[in-house]
Amino acid sequence: MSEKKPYSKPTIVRHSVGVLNKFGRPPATIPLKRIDGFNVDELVDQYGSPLFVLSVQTLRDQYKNLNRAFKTRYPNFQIAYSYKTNYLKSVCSILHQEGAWAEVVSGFEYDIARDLENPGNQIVFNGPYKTRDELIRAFKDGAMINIDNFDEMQLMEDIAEEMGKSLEVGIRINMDLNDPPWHKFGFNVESGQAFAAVKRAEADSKLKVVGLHMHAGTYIDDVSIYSRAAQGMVNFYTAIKEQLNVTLKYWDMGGGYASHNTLHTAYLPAEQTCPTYDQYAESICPFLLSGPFQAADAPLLLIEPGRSLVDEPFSLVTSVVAQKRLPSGQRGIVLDAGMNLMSSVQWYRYNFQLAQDAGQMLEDTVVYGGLCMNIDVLQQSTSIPPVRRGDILVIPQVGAYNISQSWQFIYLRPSIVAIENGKIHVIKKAEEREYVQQFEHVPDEFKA
Amino acid sequence: MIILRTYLRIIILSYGNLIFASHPFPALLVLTATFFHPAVGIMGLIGNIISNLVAKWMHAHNDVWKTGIYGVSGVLIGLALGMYAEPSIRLWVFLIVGAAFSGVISVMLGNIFTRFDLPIISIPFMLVIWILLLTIGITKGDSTSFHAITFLRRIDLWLFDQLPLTVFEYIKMFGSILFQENLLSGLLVLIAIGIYSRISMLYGLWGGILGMTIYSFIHGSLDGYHGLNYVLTALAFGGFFIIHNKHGFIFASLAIIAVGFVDLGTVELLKALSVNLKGELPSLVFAFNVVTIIFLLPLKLLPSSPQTLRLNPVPLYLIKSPETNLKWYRRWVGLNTRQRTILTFPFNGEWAVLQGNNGEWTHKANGQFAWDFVVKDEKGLQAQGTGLSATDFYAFGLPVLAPAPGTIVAVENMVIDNPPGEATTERNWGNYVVINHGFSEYSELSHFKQGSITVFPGQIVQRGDILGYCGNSGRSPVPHIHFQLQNTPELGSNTIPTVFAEGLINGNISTNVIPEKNDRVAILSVKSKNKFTLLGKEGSTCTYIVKKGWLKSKETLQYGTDAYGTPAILSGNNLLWYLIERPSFIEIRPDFKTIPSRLFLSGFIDIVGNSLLLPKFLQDGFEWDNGRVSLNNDQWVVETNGKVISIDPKDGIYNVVIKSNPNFYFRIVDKKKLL
Repeated sequence: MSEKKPYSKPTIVRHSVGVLNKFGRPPATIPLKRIDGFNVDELVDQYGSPLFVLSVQTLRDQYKNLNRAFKTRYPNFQIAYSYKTNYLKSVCSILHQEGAWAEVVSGFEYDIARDLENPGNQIVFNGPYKTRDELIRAFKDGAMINIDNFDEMQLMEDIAEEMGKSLEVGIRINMDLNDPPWHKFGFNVESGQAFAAVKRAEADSKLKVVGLHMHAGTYIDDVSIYSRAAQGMVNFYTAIKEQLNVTLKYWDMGGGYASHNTLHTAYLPAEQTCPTYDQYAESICPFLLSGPFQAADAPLLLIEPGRSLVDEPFSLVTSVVAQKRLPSGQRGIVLDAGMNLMSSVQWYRYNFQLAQDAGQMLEDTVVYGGLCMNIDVLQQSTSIPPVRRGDILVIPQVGAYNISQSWQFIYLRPSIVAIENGKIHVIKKAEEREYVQQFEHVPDEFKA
Repeated sequence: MIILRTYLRIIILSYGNLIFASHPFPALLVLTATFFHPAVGIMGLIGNIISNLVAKWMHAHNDVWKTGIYGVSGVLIGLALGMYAEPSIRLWVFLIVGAAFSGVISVMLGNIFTRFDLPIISIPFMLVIWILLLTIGITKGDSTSFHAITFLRRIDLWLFDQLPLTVFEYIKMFGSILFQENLLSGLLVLIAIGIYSRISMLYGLWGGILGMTIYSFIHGSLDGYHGLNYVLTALAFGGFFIIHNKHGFIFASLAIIAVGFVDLGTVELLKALSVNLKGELPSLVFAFNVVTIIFLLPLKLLPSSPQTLRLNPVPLYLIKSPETNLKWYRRWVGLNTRQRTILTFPFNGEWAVLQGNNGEWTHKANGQFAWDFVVKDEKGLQAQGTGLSATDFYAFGLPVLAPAPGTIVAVENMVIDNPPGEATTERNWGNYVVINHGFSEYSELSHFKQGSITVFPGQIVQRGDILGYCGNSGRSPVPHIHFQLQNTPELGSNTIPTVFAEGLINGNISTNVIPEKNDRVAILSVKSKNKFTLLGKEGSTCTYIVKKGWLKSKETLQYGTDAYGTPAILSGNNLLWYLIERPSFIEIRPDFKTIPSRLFLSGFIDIVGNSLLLPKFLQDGFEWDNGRVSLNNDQWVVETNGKVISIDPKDGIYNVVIKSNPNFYFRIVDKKKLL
């Protein structure tokens, strides 16, 4: 009772009405003091700030929920985790523990997948640019390789000739599903290019089409797009089965499943718009099961989730380094983490939660990153209670892309810790300057 | 040479048939027992050879001929003529003709009786011998005019003085099966019976005791007692023609008592008829034949069903001994009561058992063999969100699959789904589907979502086809699938003990599973490049060397199909192992006729046992509840039920070792052909 309340500076702010309803985000006035049982301020004391924190249990639950949603609806299903979203070895490894296969889009990622002891036939190799050597290696390992373009098909035919055997491949297709359409990857169905690609691959015995791949887009919160994609896949399979006598071993519906982060362009918070895993599965599986096969012979259904699995388990713990009053009268705060660690701020309207008790009075605030760059703004406008230098802010749900796309720019990248069963594991140590500069060389001539 | 050995074997086996034994060793003992009077023994042998040859000459059914059945009456003619007819040169002619007649009559009766699956026993003998005796004259006394071996005669007389009369008569009685009126022959026969079958021996001894009791009760004393009819009847019904059990015992005793009346009646009748004859016409085995046929025929005519029958006649072609009969019977019962439908779980993904067999809520009494399945998340919850709406439940709206191929027989699709927590008992099965799988087995699946069932009565479904979607209709407080297997298509009919052929139970690959409450269960789906099958081309064969202990032999297995087109493996004669295809396994299951017997050297019987599971997909490290697959130096090895089976996807099984029996092996020698 006698505990002293923290002092907050008096400000005068206009009461705003029409803030989103009570079912949206938790009020920013309720502090997020603990992550999986650990006090955030103690984590900062021990591992520094900023700090990425992974809740392993959340990651496992995400995987299990997604897996259950599809497995209960389709007889032959497998998740291939999209490495590019977050290829921290621990993250990949945890997901492999749960049973995920790997989906990689470069030789670099392929090596990680092999390092983690994934057998070749449990790796999906996508992407528009795969080198000759990478392809040869992947074919020898028995990976599922999806062809993106005719040049790549030519390359694979050459490899097949060299290896002296017919190679099993998948064909990546795209179709008009959303606006703007995703036409960068694969062969277009509407224009007849995809059919031509299968026909060409089947024409001589060098390549054998055993898979179809389609990636409908990213952060798709309208499940009807998946239904149309699945129906399109079935239609295309029916066509190539009837006319070219192709029998699929797998079909891959790609990724694009949304997470609970709100896009800048969204009106409602993601909690209200993001479909559940069951809804995604329900929009895909029944359509695919109407395909030209008996249920017992259903091709393996692969999906390549990334964002929807790893976004939520990660939080970024940051500290307020300064606050200022802008000429507009708006409050601004500066954090010790910026766009270097939060590349997704270009898409997401992140949520910021204090890790300590603060006042009840919310104020519209600009959140700046710590980079010495004008564009380093984490949030143009958000309502947070009063804060002081040294206060800790937690940004939840930051696992997708931020880590794999983080840059080393003027600051070193921070530690990453994983929490499970009351234990803290450092899964990546904070960078040191020696590490960053180890490959640099200053020739004698340049020396002062 | 081979032909000569076959003939020799059959002639010896004919002697075994006299005491219901089909093995040369006891048969040789019986043969020896007939040589107390060497001349009589020779007459028996000649009779035997002649009637067997006549049957062969007539093209009698070869399989039956090989058992030596057609020689039985010939032996008896020889022995009876020797014992009862006046010796003369003409006697030998009569023997030859009589034995030939009995051969002809045996073949005739064999063909008629086979329609009722009845044995001809010694009826041909009875039909011939009386005519012969009437024609050529009967000796006055009981004993033969031929000389016995003097030494044996003395022993016999000495024993007669030492032993009490009852004991002497009792043992002698077994010899009287061969019309031998001496203790040594009786002893030999008793030993032969005992060696071949302990059940037979006990019944034989019981038949003797009961026979003596009946005889002395009706006749007043043991004078003139010939026990052969009692003993033979006891052997026939003592587990030989019918299965030994307590009912069989009572039935056999009843038959033995009946023999007493028939035999004494016959003796009196023959005495009256023989007034003008030189001697008295012997009743011989008339009573045994009459009683056996009269007692056996009704059993053969009644429909046989192992569950309901107290008295179980054994099909003649299967009979070897009372012991093997029992083995056959247990297997027959086992196979007939075994569920035929190969069931897999009726859903995709992992579900949990909410209520198992004999569950606490509704799976009671005749509905006890049923399951309720729900979906649970990692926290063990069935629903997300508030759980106030059926759609919050994970299970709601999930596809429900056909657990096995079959025909839809009934569908209800119009019952409204309940809100969670409520259940209607008015139409408690809710929306349901009933599938007929054949063999009088029906799946019943309940509580579908209203209007979600996509199949219709008469439609043929394959395993895994979507029947409809899980709902909350009927007596269903939370969305779930109710599953049961029953014997009739009617709702609420008796459920039957059910196993799922295979599945993942709590993450472990299991076969023949009966999931229990809270078990997490899922369909097993195995995919591998190395597919293995035992199916071959009809008639293709594979030869193995079998070593059992110090016995070594060759066994040729043949791939084929039975009369219904079921794939099967045959070995030599018509021994069958059915190949039953499960989604991920091949089960080798013996036909009920495949009887393990010490007298038959099939290594495959030892390997298969009651059933053997082999995986259809060879995958290194694949493990299930009682077996595993490994790849050693490019060789697939399957360990299952203590057997180590080496498999080549192309050549099939090429080597088998039984762990508990180091002296056993089963090795391919001719691997040109499949299996």
